[in-house]
Amino acid sequence: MNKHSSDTAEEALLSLPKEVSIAPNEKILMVLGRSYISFATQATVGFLVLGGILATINFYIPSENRWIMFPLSVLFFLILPPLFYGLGYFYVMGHRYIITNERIIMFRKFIGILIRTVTHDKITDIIVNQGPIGRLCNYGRVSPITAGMIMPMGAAIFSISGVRNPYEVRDSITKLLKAMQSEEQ
Amino acid sequence: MTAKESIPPQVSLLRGEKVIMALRRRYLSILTSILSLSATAFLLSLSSTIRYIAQYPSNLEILMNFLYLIIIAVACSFVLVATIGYFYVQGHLYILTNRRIILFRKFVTISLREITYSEITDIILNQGPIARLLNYGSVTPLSPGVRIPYTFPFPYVKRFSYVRTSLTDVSQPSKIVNDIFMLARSHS
Repeated sequence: MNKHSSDTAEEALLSLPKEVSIAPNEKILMVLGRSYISFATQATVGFLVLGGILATINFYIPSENRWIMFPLSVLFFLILPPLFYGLGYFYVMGHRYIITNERIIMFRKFIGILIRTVTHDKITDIIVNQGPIGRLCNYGRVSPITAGMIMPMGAAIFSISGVRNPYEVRDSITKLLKAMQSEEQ
Repeated sequence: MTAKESIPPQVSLLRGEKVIMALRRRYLSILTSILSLSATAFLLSLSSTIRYIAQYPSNLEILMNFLYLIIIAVACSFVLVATIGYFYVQGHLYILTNRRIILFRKFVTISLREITYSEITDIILNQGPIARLLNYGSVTPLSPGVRIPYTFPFPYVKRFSYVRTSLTDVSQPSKIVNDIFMLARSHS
């Protein structure tokens, strides 16, 4: 791992969630968080779609019922966006992806808690996904696939989602896997 | 640990196999579900009754009696379901040995899953908001044979068939995840 990773590892001990415990002799190599922009783009696309639907309804609705559009517009464009973007911040902050020399821990704490632990020797595939905005802003999803985790839904939920430099993350995991394979041989 | 005393006859240990931990499902988990269901049923009945009272104020006495009847029915159902739930919860036993995990459930039917540590591919912990407060949660050890496409924490949708593959609603779930990881690590 490079210098940046070891620096991150020092910070990681501080920012490690209390629900995650590290085994003796297990070394933290990288702690990643989700970037807010990954959530914000998804939310913005959602609101744009919603805006399109409302505009279409407004076009077809009879004029005597058009009054309903005002409260709907207030709800969807004035009340929901601040609520959504505000809650989204806490949602994003609840994500931690911990890569150690033995396993990857994917942690999400938002209303409930969801943790996935996968040891490096059980990973069969690594998939990297980047959307168009992800490509522009350099974030993406890295999905470590195992025999127990079915694509695509499983990978979408239990992945290293919305991380910066996804190809760097992929490379780090691949290096670990290669090191593990050469140790076995 | 008094696991040996509580091991059901359907579970047989191998030679040299030692029980490390025996876990039970928390009754609180099912109690909170029943309580929320009863509260929802009561509130729905109450709102319908109030709407009826507003429509027909002359039948107030009959409606009040009907309301009492609803309260009694909901309370009786709660007691009944809570009693059945107690036996349902008592039927769950999760045994961690030095070789494998045994998930056992005996309630009307019997369901048994055994998984060796070397076959575990992923360990998933799932805790809802109430579970976080009361410190319980579900731990799912996945293997190539038992795969789940997805799972959501409460209050999202959770498919019931997955419950059988998990150590459902056990106390201190993050500690259990760590213990399973340590055991799997020693077997890899």
